[in-house]
Amino acid sequence: MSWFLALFAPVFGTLVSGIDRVVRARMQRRLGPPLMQPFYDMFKLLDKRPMMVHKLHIVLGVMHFMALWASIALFMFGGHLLYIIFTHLLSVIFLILAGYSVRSPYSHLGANRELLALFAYEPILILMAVGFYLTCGSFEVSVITSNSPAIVSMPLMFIALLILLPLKLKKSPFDAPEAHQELCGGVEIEYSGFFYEVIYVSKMTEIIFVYALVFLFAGQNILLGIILVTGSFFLVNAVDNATGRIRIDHLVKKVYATAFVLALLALGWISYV
Amino acid sequence: MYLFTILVGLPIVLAVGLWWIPFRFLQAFMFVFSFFVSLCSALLFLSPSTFSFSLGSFFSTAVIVIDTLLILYFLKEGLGLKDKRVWILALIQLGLFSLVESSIGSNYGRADFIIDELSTFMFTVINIVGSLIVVYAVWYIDKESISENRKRFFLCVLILFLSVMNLIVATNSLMLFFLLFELTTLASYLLIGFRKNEISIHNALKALWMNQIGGVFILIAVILGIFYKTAPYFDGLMENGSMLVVVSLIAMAGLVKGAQIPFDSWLLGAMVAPSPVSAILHSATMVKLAPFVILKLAPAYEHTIVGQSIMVFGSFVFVIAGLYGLSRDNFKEILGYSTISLLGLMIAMATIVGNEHKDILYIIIFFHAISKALLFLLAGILEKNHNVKNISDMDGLLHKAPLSTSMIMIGFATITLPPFGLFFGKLFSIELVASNMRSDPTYLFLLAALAVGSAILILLYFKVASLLFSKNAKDEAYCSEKPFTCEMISPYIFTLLLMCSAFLIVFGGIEIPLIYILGSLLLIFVIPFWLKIDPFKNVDRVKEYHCGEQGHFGVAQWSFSFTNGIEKTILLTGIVAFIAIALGGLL
Repeated sequence: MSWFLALFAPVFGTLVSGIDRVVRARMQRRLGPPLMQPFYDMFKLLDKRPMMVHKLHIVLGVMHFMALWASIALFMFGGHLLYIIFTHLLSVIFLILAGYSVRSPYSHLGANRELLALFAYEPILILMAVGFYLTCGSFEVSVITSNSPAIVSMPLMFIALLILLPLKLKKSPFDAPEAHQELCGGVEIEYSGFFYEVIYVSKMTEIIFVYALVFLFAGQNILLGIILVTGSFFLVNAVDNATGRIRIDHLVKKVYATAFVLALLALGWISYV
Repeated sequence: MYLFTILVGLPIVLAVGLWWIPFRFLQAFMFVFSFFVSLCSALLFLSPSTFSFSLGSFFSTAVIVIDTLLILYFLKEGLGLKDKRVWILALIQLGLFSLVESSIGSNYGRADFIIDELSTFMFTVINIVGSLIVVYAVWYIDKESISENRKRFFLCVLILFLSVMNLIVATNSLMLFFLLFELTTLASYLLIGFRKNEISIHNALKALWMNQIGGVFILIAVILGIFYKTAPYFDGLMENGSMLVVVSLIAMAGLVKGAQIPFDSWLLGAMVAPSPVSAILHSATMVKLAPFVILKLAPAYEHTIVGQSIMVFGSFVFVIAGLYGLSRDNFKEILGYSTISLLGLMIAMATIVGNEHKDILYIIIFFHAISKALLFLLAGILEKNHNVKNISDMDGLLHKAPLSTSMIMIGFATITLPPFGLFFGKLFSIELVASNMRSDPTYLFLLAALAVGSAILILLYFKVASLLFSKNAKDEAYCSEKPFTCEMISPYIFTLLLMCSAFLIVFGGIEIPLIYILGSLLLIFVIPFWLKIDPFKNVDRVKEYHCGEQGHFGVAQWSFSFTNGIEKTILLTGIVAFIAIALGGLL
């Protein structure tokens, strides 16, 4: 089962991304693309003539995907939550360096914003891992998923994670790092053809990583997990449709003022109350 | 015992001998020296034993004479260079010192030197990292346009400094500690002012008076200790739990040496010194006295308000100093701020690791020393070979100097990313704090600082990296950098040590699942190999997207700085923290 989940995570991610697009379109009373659209995109991109800016840019982009995949594999095999978060950090750093490696204003701006976004969410992920440790007694994902639901003892931490979701999924109001209208996609702009497909898939694999963290809050209760994931999925899409983008400095301030404080409160609540 | 004698004696012998060795053989001599002292310190560290010894009465007279001469020298420099703070502090020191010497009991029946596990650990840091930096320093100083005697003087001071450091981490007597503390201050002063231009003299004097304050703290501690019938020895402080204020004053002296806010400006000023000095004194060894002293005294203030204030203060500095770094453009100043920041982390961790988790602090100190030494040496290489000092000049450096830049990236990665030494130090710290969370509410503060501070360091380093890689689509050619030159020896050794740091930690007895280490190593080191293989030969090139505009597009860096008001508040917080530590000791 772990092998299956780890290996096919990119495929599931692509599928979820298809659902995501349909749901978002329906919320806007549009018909939206067919469910399998991301797969069609994939075939189209694979068919294109490969082109690149330079080698290092491509290699870093591919390693971004590999590291992300590795972190999901660690998750599915029930690894150490902190190592998982830091492997994920490694993958984001690869992407940021890829963005810096080309002399393109959009790519640089995107990477700068990506770095600031990392600064905003990384501490909260670490605090969340500590929260799981305090409720379940271990950092191991396998132990956390065999315990009773952690959301009961730290609801505030769950809300903090909900605030991070749009940031990780590049959705409004926290989509400044990507910002199609002003940055043309930020870091991903200089990729094309097959290489863009790699970045595209890793964006969709990220979805799996994020919702896996949501699922973790349900512990052994799979039904609750499904409810949490579906609920947050619809919530994120609703918020995406209802809000506009905010500036990157506001993003950092808002995330610290809300999610970070909530995470600290949650930890204080578990430890001292 | 004889190993310790070698560690102290060999540098002194070499420091005298180097005046007769021809300059071109000097590096080879230093390399052999480095090998020997590294071996000795490693042997000492690996064979755990505690032993102690005292000096004869002749030496105690000598100590008084040297101390007096030293203070008089500071007085002279203060008057000669017309720095009010220096000579006033020297006078205060002189007064306090004579007060101490007139009232101190002659026979406490305690050992002057005690070599325990902590000292042997510090030996390894000082000797392995320090001596390799000296090897590099021969090349660096040879590139300066100064007389040969000045060059030899420079190396002489550096080597003698190693000997002083070896003594200070083994000393048990507070008076000896004061002497050696002042000697490190002297080394700092001489080496920062080495270039003798206006700015270096100004900064050297600043370093001098700030560190003199540390000396004053030690003297006051000794006087209070005598007043309250506490023996002025480190082991005496541990036994007598009632005299907390003595302990907190010594700790404050350590914090001054560790350049914690509000004393951070001396370490920043110290960055005008030649690169090996910044590497050896101001990041790898001397400033490590701060966590060393805090850890040594930790049993005395466990679970007291002093310990808590030091911990909270250290965590505060960890975050704030990192933010300060974001406002700087000079590469060495950025490294300086990140050193202060990580020293804050070490100090905070030193108060809580206790006896059973010392390894965590050892990992942080050791690998921080290596990473920072590597980065400072490379800063020197960039300065001498490529004429780059500021990060805004680093545009496309990877293509001008691929080898140095790759090593800089390794230096950055080892501080922030898995699976390298300092990263594991932070990871274990998070685990340790998490497992003790419930015992003390201040741990929440430390945890928050750990999370945010690490993120700030990532932000700082990869902001610097942003220009390193930049490159046009057209010119693919990498310049080649000569790989086998004498300046590269020490950086190579440091890089090698850092790359296998995770295995060293495992070897040291801490369990880390191999899959994590190998997995992340593979992910990182696949990149250079992949580039070498070059599977993209037949792929077409495109230019960057510029909205169809013609013309040049440069990239720049952002920076972040505090407003004056906030800086003042931070300074005030630092002063309040120092007062709180002292008051906590009194109450």
